[in-house]
Amino acid sequence: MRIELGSLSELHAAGTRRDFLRLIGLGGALVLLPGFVSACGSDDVTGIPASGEPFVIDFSDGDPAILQLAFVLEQLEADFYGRVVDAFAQSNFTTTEQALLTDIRNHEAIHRAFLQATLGTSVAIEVTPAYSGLAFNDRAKVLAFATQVEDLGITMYNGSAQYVASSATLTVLAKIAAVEGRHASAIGDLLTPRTGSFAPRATDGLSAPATVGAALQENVVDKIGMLNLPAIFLGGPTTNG
Amino acid sequence: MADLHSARSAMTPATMGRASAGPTDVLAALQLLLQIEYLQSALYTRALTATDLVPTTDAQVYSTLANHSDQQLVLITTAITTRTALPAPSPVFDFTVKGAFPGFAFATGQYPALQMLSQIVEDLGVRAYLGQLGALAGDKAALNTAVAILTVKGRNASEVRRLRGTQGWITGSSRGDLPAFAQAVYDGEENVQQGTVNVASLAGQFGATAGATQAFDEPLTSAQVTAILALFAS
Repeated sequence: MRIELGSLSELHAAGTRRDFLRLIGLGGALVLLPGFVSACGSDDVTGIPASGEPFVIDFSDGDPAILQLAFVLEQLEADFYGRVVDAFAQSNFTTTEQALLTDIRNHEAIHRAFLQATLGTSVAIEVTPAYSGLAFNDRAKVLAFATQVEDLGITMYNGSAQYVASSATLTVLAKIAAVEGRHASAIGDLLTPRTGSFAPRATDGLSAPATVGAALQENVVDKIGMLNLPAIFLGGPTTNG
Repeated sequence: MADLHSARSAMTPATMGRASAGPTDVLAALQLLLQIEYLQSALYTRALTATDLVPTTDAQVYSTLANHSDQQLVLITTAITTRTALPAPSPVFDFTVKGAFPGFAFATGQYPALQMLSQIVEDLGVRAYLGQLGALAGDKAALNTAVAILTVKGRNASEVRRLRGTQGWITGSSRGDLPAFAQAVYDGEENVQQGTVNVASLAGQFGATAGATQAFDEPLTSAQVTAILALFAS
């Protein structure tokens, strides 16, 4: 991770978003998460990760910052499964698998809509997901990416719980996390049926917001900035960092 | 969630990772979760030691479940002892659940009943953990242990449901083909009001109300969990 304030032109572009104006005014320390621009070619579906307009999640906002981080994740999940469902006619998923993936698409779209409505349209920052040459009609590749994004969601929710001030918000985010666990299990079982792959460990990991942001950045065009990251991250029984 | 936008993180270095004598509500929460772990661990331990109960095709799944529940039991027990309290002893369980599974004795040919019991204890586990997070919120180490276990309960529940041909998620408050006593494990799952948002109203093209209920698991109160656990008491 590097700490930078970007080029003048980048800052100028950033000025179009409210939080950047505030950032410049406060002169705060901003973390712009690294992208993997060089690794991505012309086959990107919607754009190059981290190449787009910057936005900032300011953790001094408290719970709304956690909801915003979750909103970025759920936008990626909903968009991803939406593309998977749209590609069914050309894909090698069985009818049963298609029904399962459609359910998951629905859940993620509902999570996305819930977070958007909770944050409010003026606060919820919409992002453009990016996929580096991912073949949405390829069962193995789709399931591999699904595992990755479900696991990221689980470690994000688990690692963020310690920062949530509102008990009601803590619980509602955990209600979603439990269902992400149900998804991860189903995807794992599709990959290697009736093995231990539905739950690789007795405890899931916890990831710090910066770690989650860096992972999300690989699949988000907009440049993710984080301000006033919590100074302390407390791990769990198994910590992803 | 009325305080959502005004809320500031109450976390300070002094409140993080506190592991000294926990407040009463933290210990009460951990003791309740311990009862869940005893129940699950007892079920899977007996299932694994039974002869010709779990078919070979599902043996790896059940050994994973047993392994997880043993580790989770240790984690919750340790969470209690490090807070200088004494873990309550394990009850002796009646897995016929007061006769709802007549003659169930982990015997050959009784795998369908074991599968039903597995679904019941895992969905119960998810909802019991969800119900205790608020009580654990002030003790970040305990909270982190609980959430790390919660999502694995979700994974386990999904697997045991799918193994018996049921969807991995709960629709409405449906107990499906489970015995009537299990309805208490599903009551309340039909909730669609999440904070200030009615999620059914947002779910139109995405599975409608059914999808809205599937997308969120729901907490059970301590009283609800205790009442369900009492059904398993021998």
